Amino acid sequence: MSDLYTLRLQQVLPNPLVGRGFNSIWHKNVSLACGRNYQILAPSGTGKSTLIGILNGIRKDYAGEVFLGDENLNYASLDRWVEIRRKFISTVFQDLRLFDQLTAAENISLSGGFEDPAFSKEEVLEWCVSLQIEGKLNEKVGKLSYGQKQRVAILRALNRKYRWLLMDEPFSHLDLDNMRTAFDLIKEQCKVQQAGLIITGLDHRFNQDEFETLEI
Amino acid sequence: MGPRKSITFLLRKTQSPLQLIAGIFGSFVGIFIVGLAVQLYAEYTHLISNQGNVAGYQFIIINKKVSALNTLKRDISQFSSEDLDRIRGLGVVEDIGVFKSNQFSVEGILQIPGQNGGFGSEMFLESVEDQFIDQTPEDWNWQPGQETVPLILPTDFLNLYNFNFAPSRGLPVLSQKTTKLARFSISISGEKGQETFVGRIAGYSSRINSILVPMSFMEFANDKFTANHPENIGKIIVSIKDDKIATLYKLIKELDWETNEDKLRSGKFAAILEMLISIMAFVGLVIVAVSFSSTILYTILAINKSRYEIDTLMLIGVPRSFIVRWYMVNLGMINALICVGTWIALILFKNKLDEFAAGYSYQLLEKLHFTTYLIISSTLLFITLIQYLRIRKLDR
Repeated sequence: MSDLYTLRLQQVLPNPLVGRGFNSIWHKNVSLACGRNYQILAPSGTGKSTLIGILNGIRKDYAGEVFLGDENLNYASLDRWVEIRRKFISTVFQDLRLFDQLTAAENISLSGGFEDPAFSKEEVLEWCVSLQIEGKLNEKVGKLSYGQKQRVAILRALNRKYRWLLMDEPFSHLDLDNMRTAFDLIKEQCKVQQAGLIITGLDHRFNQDEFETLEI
Repeated sequence: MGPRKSITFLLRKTQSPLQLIAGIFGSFVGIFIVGLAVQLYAEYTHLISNQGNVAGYQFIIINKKVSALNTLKRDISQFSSEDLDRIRGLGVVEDIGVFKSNQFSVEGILQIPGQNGGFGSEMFLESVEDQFIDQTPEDWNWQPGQETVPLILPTDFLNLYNFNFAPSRGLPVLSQKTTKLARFSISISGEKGQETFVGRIAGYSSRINSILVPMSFMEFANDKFTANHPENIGKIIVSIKDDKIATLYKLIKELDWETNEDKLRSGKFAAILEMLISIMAFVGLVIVAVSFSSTILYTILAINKSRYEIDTLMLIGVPRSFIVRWYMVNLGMINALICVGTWIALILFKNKLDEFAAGYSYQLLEKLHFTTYLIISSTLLFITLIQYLRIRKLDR
């Protein structure tokens, strides 16, 4: 869609992966267009989570350069990164990064900090119902199963404005039904927000019409 | 719970009350001791300067110590000009007077009116500048050609006579006034001649324990009767303000000179007090250093315990400034609490101290010295600044 939010990786190579051979991302010039869906396919240990970490500013241990639009993110300060995460990049982390002491509802509402909610309560509740989590909203996240936690993490990531949605193996503990529902919700929301989606997974290939597959 | 509340809940939840209490206690003790040292020093200077206003100057007579080693060496018991410079160099002495003594032989015979006989004895005479004499008699002067020489005797002489000698001999006691009627024969002899003068008691001194004659007489007689009279300084007198005695006391002790210990008692007391306050300030500094590190450690610990929460909040876009502000507001409140708590504790302590001092009729400062408030507040501001710098270093 807009060049303003295009993610570009120029010759990016994480330090731990130096010396290995790669297909389509590492040590290449890659342009990820905002509004499109990308699936990252790769075996374990080849840097899927590293890619997500580089794109949301957690990882700095790489050579090459990363751009968001024209902005070289290599030079972004911590405060700028936090602002980018707040405004443009929403992430579902592989380790979820939820707060066990808070309820599911509190975790979901914490998304994006404390700015004005991007969606109405009813809308968010609807998502919760579709993901069958509405009965757990008032329970402390620490008491939920991993699959339930994964759905809370997805809802937290969706419950805000973003230009990019980064998802690091978001369905690893979901049954097929829940995965489909969640996947549909994610695609629909990305379309609504005209956002790009980058999703990593081990081996499941999504519909080639909807997703561009990048193999590491 | 709204998002803001959730965040503060998360940050608060990870704090340990025990560590918080330990941190507060450490800071409180440290700051209290700093405040106490400052206040006690203010009280001390107040007391000393007040005492000075009432008592004014002290006159202290100093001589060198005569020991087995220097009994035979005359020079060692004399003050050199370097010695005098050293005293002046302290910068605390108002004036130094040098005693001049007779270089000739003196024999005196005291005739008591209405009594047969009297006291006869070899004598020694001394002179010192008039400003060092406690009460200069009206007719305290002598000019060449004058037969009568005024004398000032130590009050102790008369007391010894009245309370020890006279009762044992059945003699009448004498008042100062009566003795002033008495006349001495003062016979002076030296290499250059001999002459007899009439001595008259012009007054008494409780300050100087010696028989004084006017300086003009001493200079005249030394010149007239002695062929060679070196300017030996065996004894000096200094005038000094009460609050400066401690400094002089230290020098006297250092050089192993001698003086009237009674006079120096306040100096000794002040020196001990100064030493105690120095020790207390040192101990205070150590405790403050420990307390500082305990406060900083507490801050680091508090952040580390919330590491996951802080990192995750920033990963989902919560501004660092919000987190830093939350910590600083809370730490600021804690520090303000410690500040006010220390003020209150010191005020209570001061009340007790006032009561204690009143028992000894000492007038302390009316209230806590403003420097005490200032030091406490600025120390806590400094701690807050260090905490801020540490917290600002949050990275993720």
